[in-house]
Amino acid sequence: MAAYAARRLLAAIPILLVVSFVTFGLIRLAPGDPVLIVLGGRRVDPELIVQLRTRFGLDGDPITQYFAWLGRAVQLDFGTSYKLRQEVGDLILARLPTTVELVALSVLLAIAIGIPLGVLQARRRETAVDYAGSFIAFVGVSSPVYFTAILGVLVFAVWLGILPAFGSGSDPLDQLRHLILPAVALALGMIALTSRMTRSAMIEVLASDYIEAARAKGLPERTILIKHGLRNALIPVLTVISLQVGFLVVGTVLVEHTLGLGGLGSLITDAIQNRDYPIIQASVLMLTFLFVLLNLVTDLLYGLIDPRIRYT
Amino acid sequence: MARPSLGWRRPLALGTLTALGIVATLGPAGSVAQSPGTPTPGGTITMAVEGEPTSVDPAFDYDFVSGYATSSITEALLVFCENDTQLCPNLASDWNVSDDGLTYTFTIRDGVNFHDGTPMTVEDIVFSLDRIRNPELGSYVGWMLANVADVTAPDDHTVVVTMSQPDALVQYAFASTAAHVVKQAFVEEHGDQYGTPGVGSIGTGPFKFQEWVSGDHQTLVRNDDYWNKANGGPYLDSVIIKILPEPTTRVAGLETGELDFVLNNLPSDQYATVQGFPHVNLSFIPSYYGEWITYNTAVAPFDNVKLRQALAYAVDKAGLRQLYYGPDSPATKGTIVYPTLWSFEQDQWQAAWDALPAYDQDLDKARQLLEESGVADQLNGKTIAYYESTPSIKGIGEHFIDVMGQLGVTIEAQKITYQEAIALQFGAHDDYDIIVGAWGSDFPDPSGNLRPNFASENIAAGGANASAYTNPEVDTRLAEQNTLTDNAERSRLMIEAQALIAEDAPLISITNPGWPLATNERVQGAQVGPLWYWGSLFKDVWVTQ
Amino acid sequence: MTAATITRPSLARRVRAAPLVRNRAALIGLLLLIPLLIATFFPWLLTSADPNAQSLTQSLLPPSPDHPLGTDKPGRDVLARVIYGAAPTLLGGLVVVIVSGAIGIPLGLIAGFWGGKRDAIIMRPLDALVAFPALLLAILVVATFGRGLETAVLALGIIYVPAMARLVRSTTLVQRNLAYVDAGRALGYSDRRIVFRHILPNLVGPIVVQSSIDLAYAILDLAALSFLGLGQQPPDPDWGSMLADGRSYLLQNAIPALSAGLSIMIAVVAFNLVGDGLRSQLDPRERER
Repeated sequence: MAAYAARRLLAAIPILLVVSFVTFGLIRLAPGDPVLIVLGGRRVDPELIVQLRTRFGLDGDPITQYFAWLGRAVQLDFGTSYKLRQEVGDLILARLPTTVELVALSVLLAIAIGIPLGVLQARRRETAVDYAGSFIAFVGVSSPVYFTAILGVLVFAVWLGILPAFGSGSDPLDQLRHLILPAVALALGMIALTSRMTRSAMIEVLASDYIEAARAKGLPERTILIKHGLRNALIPVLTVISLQVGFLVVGTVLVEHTLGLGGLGSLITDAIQNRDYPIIQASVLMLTFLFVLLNLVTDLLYGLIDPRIRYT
Repeated sequence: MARPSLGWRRPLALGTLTALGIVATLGPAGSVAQSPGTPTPGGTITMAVEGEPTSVDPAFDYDFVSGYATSSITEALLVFCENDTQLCPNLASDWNVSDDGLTYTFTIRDGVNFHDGTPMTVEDIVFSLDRIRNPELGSYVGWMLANVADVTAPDDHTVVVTMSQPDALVQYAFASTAAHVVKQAFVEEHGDQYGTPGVGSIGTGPFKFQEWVSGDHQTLVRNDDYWNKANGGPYLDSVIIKILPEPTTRVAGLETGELDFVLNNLPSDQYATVQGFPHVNLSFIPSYYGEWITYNTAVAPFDNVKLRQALAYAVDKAGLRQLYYGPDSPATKGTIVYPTLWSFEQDQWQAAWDALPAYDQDLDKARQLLEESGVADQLNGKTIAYYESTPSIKGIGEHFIDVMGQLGVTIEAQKITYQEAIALQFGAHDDYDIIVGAWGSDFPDPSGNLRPNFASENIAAGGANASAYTNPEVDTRLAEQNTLTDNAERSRLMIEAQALIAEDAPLISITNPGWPLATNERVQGAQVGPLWYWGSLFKDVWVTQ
Repeated sequence: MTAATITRPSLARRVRAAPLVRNRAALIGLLLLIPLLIATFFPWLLTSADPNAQSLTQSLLPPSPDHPLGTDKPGRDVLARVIYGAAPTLLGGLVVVIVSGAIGIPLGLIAGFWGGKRDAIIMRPLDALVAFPALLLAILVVATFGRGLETAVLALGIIYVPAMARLVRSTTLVQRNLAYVDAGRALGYSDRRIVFRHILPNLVGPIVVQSSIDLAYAILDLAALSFLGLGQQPPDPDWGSMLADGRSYLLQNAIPALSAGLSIMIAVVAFNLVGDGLRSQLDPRERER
């Protein structure tokens, strides 16, 4: 399995190269001179433009620039942001916690709400409860995060005044309060997927022979449901969740943009607008690597769950 | 840190606020209305900026978000005063200019300490000015000192700046970040990292750098050892500068009381909402800034003066002013030298103003001029570039398309980002038809608006002449006034240039809006002038408990 | 075996509802689609107001008989903008699906039927495309090639190619080994004829299902790009940009933002419901439960 994992990671290298090259090419082709944008719309000295262009390594042909960047990137030197004048590595590390907390809280919400909802639906199959659950799931999966985030602020922060509208808070408890709105907006789609996955897995499991056997033994319904049913149904559910984490990370771009959170997502969207090449290249590369890694972890999880799967 | 967020709240009925209209509390120009009470030390205020600051190194503070922290930490030799129309002593207790305008002699104040307790020396000052001038550094404000030939310190309390040629504007540079005094030893110790979140900065200012969490906030704390306690401040224990890119979160923060101070980055479509918060004061600070529509006058059909005048008459400036700006946002006639900029020779400027064409909306006249131009058909299908993040800029763009439609001309929208607009407005000026632009002088001087926008030398990349406007008559006058120190003669030349420009109509001046300033009612004593971005805003601010 | 790789979160793949609910749900979806389709193709049937007509004096009015949903900032009729905003969103989504199908189906067929080197040449770049964070790629493409509905639609169309290609490839792999293909070979039919005349018709079911699900996501993504200011150009109405626009005066008048946001949601729900219903009808693998 270790050899399989190593081979998969090796296979990711050409993907990362392609992604980095495409990113590089696209952003270089984009109109808008980063030097002028950095100088921010006030008076500029022509000599300064020339000087900054040299400093940013924007002289010479793009192919040479790409390989120069690649040479430094393999040593994990991602350069300095044009606009923010900080090391790109430091910037990403500084912004990462917000994004990670947001994603983690969303996953927790999806588990804490989605799984019980799915179990309940399976238990009350084809009743009003089940239909209501399915309906909620459909709406959840169809909700644009940028809309639910706005709606959340309007309802919970402005009208009801029970949650803060923005920011990251001071102490841990306060930070949690600040993350609730964005996390719920982000988690809605995932709650929907989790509940529906749980529902179908539970239905499958509850129809199996050993549950019949457990029933025949006269075990209490709660024990059957939780200990025998859910435990077995949980495996595919958790796999789906792990697959979704990558999408949540990208989904934070929209939530952070909408609610003005200073995470990785807003760093990247700002960088694209500012034509801040070093940040764009480093963060797209990092997200892609994260995708590949999650992908691999999910595949390995399959193996742990189902020993019949062999990695060749 | 942040105050508890369960403050005052009330349910908000949909749409009711619009009916209230806008009733601004315009305090005395340039300040927030003072309520009775004695200033007391202590307290914290939280303010909002719309993006990550660039640096706290003054060399790179040339934008609207970095200065709140930078100008509280480090200070310049001089300071803008008299509502930012004049220069006053600061770290230099006195200064004089030689008659030929080539030598500036500064007497340096004694007993000023940096935040680490060490005294500020003339060596630090010479180092600071030379550092900004050094092209290797790539300072964003280095151009201000371009005509400086040499900086020396003949004794322990004198600094002499020698010019290579007279420069009417360089005096103002000494009150900007270009003349902020940094501590030589600290800057040399940290090199490239100076001014970044991990290192910060030290200076002589009323507040000290405490922390900067990238993407979240900056925190400043009071400098108890501050040299200038003439007005009693600094009072505040600390100032928290929150980075909040989303306008509605800033408004929500004002409402909940989580934010105490929002300047400039309050979009005009939020004025009515903020006006409805009983615990928030909204005022408008006069500005040197204006918004306008321009076109590339170097190419057809915009090289036709009749057509340009027709466009100027087509736009409903009064309607736009009413809808997208604060109350009583002033009319500007055909110029961007706004009355706020008349910092000298006011009578001359007033007389000139009275003679300027106003270009109030007149669709019949616009039609007639279009007809006379003979090139009206070439207008069809031209594009207007504008960004949407500022409601007034977006509103101007959409209105232009709408009103041209009324004249039977189809204009297409070219929606761009703020950053792309900057790249267009300061690029080679050959890659757009029509653009909605904005500009505000860095200094209290009409030249600060005229020269960048209308001198042909500023058409090249980096310049601000977004109209690609060339008029040799204008060029010679603008160049000549810059070498003089006699303001009466300078005004005469600039007024002649202004008249020529107004007739040529290279741009459609919409208004000269005030900077919106929203403060929680507990915030007292803020002195905010037209050049707030160069100033230390929190020096004498205090809060009621 | 190699395990699954990450694809778009295909709701239909992972989520199943009871057939009863599913069909009833599909009916609801179809009912929701009717007004959306009328708004897309015959907007003038639903409103007589001009969605772009400004009236600077009638800014942000509350609902009234003249303006059932009130007006926006420059005094435009919100209801008319919601109705006329359907076309760019829905037709845009449709084009995304057509583009992804036009590229993805042939690629999937070739990779699946001939396999080997062709398979590798086609699928490797698509793997790289899948690894690219989709929304970021779309933002980058639009930043590069200029904002506008066309660019946004094209960018999403390409981003949706791998999902379609993979589906077609895997289904083709199954079909390739079925008896009718061998029979066709025995009759001397060319490979091309077998692929396009015999295999392709058998893929129609899964392709239609995938397309309807993709359509729901395309609408969501397209609206997201518009919301970020990268889609439909002003002043023409579009739900995503209306939402972004309305957000800035949300506290003054929430109706423009709410009506745009709800329109997006309703459209996505409708296509998701219809897609799920189609699956139960067209996809034999889904029938048993």
